[in-house]
Amino acid sequence: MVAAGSAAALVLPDVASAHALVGRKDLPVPAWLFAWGASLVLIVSFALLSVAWTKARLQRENWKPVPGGLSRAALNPVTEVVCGLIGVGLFVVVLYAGFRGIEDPTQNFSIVFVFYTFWLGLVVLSVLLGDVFRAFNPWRALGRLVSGGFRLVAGQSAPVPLRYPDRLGRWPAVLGVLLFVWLELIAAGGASPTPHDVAVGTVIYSVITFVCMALFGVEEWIARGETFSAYFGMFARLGPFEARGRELGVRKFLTGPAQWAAVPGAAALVLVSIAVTSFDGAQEGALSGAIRWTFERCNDIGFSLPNSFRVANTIWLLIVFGGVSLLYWLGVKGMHTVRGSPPVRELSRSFAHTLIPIALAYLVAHYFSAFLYQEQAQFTYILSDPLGHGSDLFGTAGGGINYGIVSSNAVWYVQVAALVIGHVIALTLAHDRALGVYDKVRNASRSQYFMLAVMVAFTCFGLFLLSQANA
Amino acid sequence: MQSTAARLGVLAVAIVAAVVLFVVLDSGDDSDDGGGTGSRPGTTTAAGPTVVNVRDGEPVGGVQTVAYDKGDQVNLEVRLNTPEEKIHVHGYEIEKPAETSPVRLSFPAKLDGIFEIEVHRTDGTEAEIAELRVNP
Repeated sequence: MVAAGSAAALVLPDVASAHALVGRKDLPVPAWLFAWGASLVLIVSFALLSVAWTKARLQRENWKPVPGGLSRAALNPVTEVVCGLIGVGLFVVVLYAGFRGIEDPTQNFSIVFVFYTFWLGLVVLSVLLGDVFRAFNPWRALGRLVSGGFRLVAGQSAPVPLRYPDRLGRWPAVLGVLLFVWLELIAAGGASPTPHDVAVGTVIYSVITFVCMALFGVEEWIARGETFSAYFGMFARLGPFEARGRELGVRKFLTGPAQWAAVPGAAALVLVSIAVTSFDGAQEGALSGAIRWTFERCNDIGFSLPNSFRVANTIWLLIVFGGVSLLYWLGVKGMHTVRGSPPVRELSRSFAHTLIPIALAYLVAHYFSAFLYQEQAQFTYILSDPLGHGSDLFGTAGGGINYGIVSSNAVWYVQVAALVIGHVIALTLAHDRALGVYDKVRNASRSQYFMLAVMVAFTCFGLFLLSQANA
Repeated sequence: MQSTAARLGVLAVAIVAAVVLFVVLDSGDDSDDGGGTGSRPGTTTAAGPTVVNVRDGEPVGGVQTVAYDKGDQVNLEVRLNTPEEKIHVHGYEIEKPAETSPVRLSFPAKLDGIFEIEVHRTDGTEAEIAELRVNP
């Protein structure tokens, strides 16, 4: 979670000191619940195998438009402009609060909004409502404004100098996610990122995004390379709603992920999502000892305390990413041994979408409680006093966070349930995809033993992280 | 899976195994105090305040863990060698001025979870001095 406390407070061997934004941390999942959860995962997996269907059912979306009135209400030029304005407005508030607001991260709009409401809330909204970020995306809105203005003035569309290379795929988004989480957890060297850090990060990201939109075209960059569009769009595939052109439609349950473009970097994007969530959980739990050891070695070499923190945590973030990727790669290699398999790279991309439910489960498991607390802050004192200067814009500045809103037991059950349900959905998607990839049902089933092993590993790893959390 | 009967058989066994496992594991550890971590050195659930020593704004002996069960009375005594601004218990949002020593904290453990106890120093910085764990 977002850390706080000054760098000077780092006491060797303490790696991370007080967490300003986390008033109440989850207790580790108790051993009995971990064991039960893991056993349930295995049992459910075998049960699913026994009822495994033999014809692919989820490979076609059967997208149907909703009643016209609803569609028009949701997707008309007016709502597009309003949503764009809201997105840009929030973007401006983040910048202003970041540069001019109070430095205390717990009282500043930019920290709470960016790391909780935006980063986590939009995932939830995307799953429930479809790709809503597309409408609120401030970079897209501003890009469209500029290109529209150009068209108005010049009488023709702005020329697009470069073609987006297919080989680049989603890799820019992978890098974007890594850097975002790096800012959240590591950049400040053991303390929480300050609102100023967030504002600077936003400016840097905006400059890069605008340059890329100028080079590749606004919609092209948004569709293929922009980090948050790719990230939220990935989770949007899990939900039932999808807009096509000016029509809003509903697709058959769970058919969305299979249509997620199997481009280069697709697997990496879903794996990096799992990895950064794992790292956040492991930083204070399963890996805290290893990180501390590395931190001390860095300090011995001569790095300052904050830099030792940065180096040690960056190393372990990359190791976790590597480890998660290795696990998937082993599963794919295993699948590849089955007769009738396409080449490894194609196989890897074909099954990338099956991990999206697991990535979502990881997010729910790790952030559910913190999200509940911080959203209370978001809509009370943060909303009315975004700069922390004492204003009360909406009359809610007096409110606060009720940490008692959810008990430890409830949190544990939500965490385990999320992982188990995510696992079940992932297995379902993988089995169905295998039926599409392999000619013979027998080969499809054989290939899925490998994916089963990978998913059991991911789910049990998730449970393990929870059992070691804050330990 | 070849035949319908075999499939149903496996499914039935799986469901029975799940139920049995749940019953066995759940009844065994209802009184578990919350995890494989168990109690740490320096914890107490007995009467008598737990003492946390703060020297020049840093916890002596590192950040110690104090564990209680939900419903217990948390009883802490923070001893400082220099005056600081305040002691802050996260989550419970309890703050007490720390200009004089010792600072006594006594409150019912109504919320379960992990809560940081910090010293806010006179120079505006903060440091964690103890970790409060309340088991459900």
